Amino acid sequence: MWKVYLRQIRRLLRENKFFSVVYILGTALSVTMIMLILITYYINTGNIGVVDKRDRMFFVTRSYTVKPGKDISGNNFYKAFQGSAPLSHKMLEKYMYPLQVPEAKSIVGQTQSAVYNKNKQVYEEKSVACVDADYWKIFSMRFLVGRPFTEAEVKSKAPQVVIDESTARALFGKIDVVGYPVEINWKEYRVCGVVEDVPSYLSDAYAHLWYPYTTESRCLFSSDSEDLKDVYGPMKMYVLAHDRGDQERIRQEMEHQIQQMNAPAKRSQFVLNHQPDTALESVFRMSSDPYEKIYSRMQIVFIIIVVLLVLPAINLSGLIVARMKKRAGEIGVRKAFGASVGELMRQFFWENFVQMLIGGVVGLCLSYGIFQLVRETLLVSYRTMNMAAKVGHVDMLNFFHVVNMHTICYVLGICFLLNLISTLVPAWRYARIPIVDALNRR
Amino acid sequence: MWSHMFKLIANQWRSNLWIMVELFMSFVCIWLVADVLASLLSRKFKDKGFDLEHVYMVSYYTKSGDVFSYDAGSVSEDELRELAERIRRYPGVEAVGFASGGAFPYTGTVNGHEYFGDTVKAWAVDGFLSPDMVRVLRLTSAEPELDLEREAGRGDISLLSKTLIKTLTRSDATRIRFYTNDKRNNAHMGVRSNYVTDEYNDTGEERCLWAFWPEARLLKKRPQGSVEMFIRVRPEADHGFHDTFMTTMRERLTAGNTSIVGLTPMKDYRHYILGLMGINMMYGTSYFLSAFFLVCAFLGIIGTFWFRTEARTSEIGLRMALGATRRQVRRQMIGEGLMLFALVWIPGLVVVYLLRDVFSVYEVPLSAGWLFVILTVITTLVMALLIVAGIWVPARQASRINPVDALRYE
Repeated sequence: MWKVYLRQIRRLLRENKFFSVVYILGTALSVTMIMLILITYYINTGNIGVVDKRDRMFFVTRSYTVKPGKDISGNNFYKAFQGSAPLSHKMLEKYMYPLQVPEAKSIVGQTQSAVYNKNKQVYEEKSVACVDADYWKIFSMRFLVGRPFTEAEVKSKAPQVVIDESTARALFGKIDVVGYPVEINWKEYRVCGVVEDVPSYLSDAYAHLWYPYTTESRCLFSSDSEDLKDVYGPMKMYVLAHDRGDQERIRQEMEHQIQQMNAPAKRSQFVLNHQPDTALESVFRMSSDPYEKIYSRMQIVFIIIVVLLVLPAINLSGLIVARMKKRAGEIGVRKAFGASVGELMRQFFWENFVQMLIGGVVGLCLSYGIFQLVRETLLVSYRTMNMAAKVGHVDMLNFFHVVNMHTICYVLGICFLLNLISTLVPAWRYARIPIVDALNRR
Repeated sequence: MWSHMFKLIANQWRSNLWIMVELFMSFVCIWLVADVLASLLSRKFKDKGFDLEHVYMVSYYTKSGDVFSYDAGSVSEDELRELAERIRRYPGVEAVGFASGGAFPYTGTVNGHEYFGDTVKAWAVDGFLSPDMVRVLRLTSAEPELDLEREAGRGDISLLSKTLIKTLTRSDATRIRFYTNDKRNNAHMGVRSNYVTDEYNDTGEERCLWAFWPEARLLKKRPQGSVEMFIRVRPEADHGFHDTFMTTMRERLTAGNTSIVGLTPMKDYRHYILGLMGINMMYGTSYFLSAFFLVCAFLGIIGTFWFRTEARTSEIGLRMALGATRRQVRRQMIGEGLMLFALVWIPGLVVVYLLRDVFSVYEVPLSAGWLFVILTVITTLVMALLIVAGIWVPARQASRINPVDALRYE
């Protein structure tokens, strides 16, 4: 049976070239557009490269302060709102380090630093991450030589630095540089490890140099909101849970910690505003909005995806109806020889599915190409914003970070849905035509 | 002619229904995307009151106190003024100025204070600039005869946005008096300016106030925590400026504890910030979606009409046998397509109008008033063109049929 189907599909494709081209183009277009969205989603949320535990990662990126005792649900949030900024290390150390539920908690500050390049005798601005020891548990950086800095070293403000391969080559011309001095912001650090480069589109882990946040004076400032001490600062926190379902438990534990923090203050109150976020939620979190806005932003994207599916599906459906009309005779013959409605519908479905898959493959390739071109536009989020906003560039995407089992599954899914929507109605209508009528039509 | 076409459409209502749904969806989608795009573009071209071409932001670093080579005797503001002086002497540099943390374009700042008019008070986003910033950003005021640079040099003049002046004085004055405290004992002068933080920002309904402070005072007080340095370069010198500047100035880029490590073109900075704000993404999405909808509608129309003409070969043959010219056949087919579009036009417009309200909930910028009419005209024309183009090829093919062959088909 399969062989007959395949032969028939090949014939159909060849017989009506115009139809096939329009059909495949239509599908490819739709798949390209949806894949652009899904690849963006995947790059921001998938377990890719060194960020291989992202499904268990949660993010606390901002502190929000409101007037105490006010209703902060929905749009009432704006009335009670006092301010919002990233968090201070003092507050995170005191209230978030004691959390019991998560496996690891890391204080992170991404910024730019002046690094002295001895070869060129100039200071160069480099992306750096000021982190603690738990950071190395959350991400799976591959150490080419050396080791990460330890908790004791972070506490004792030891000037240790982990650098990436390209920086090691730029500064020293080789990678075996453990113990070598590096001058960062005019302070001397010692290299304790060298890791493989992290592409900049993995923005959570991205940096060229990593050193303890306790040694960076810019990470250590904090400011108050009214009588609430040390809420604002330049830092954020990554939390690694044991299980991806732990979000709600972590949130409850955080809420508990925050009660202690809010207890002495009268005129201002710290709220989590529904943090910690999953990777997806944190992409849609922007500065000073109530968290419901995150979901309304997601809805827009969802609506766009639905439109991108439905509109081409109606188009293709129109095409299929037109073609069915021509094949009415064939349907009649098939039915006369005992084919059931279900069998005929299955046949139409698979026929179109194969044509669609060709479009899907073309679409996937197209979307990879287009994604490279527009990656600077697609791969931005508030989460990636630095302490000092500086122009950053997005690296070329690794082919296997875009085209892999996940994305191929997405394409299959899109084709299946598109096919289902577009063939179902016409196939149902034409498969049920009485035999005599079908045979009578040309 | 028209009633005949109606009859034709009604007879084939089933297959026409598909096309109508398709046209309806395409019309609505294209209209909405065009709407978003139009309002984005209308903001893009609004008069901003500043000019970022050939302007660079200077990245400088200051050593912290725990650095071995820290010079405790050196004063930070003197270092910055010294560096600015050195840069001013560099060939090709037109002006060097300073601005406090939020007082330059595209910071997205929401920092502000209350300001007082003679009777009312209003909250405004604010920031502080050195007088040289007039030349760096090419700032303008609503009073053309006012020498803004000289007035700013004397100190105590501020640029106020139109909406702020309106709230403080309930008038459209170009020059007003305002106070920074409730006692109203110390009047300041304000001039109206188009200078807003950025063209897409609606923070504080664009109530902004930019105050000029003498350079020394600005650097000493640092009213918003930090100050940034900006350079305007002469257009003829702005070729590979960053590299030549960094190499020739290498020895002179450090003064005391402060060092300059790089320059960022403000154009790049603007692009980066608009990216963070999601503006670039909105542009990209609108362009992509409109292209997608157009191509999609085109493919749909061309595909369906191709098959329709094939299925109606005999009908066309009969028409031609009865004396219809090729042109008439073509015209009739295109007329049918346009008629179908006309049938969905009014329901489409109603849906578009209703959907605008739904969309505004999602913070999508939308057009209003006369723009609605213009957009409707444009999208209608584009759709009509698309339909004509989509039907043209199959219609031409159909009209080429030999009536004898077509009739034998029967």
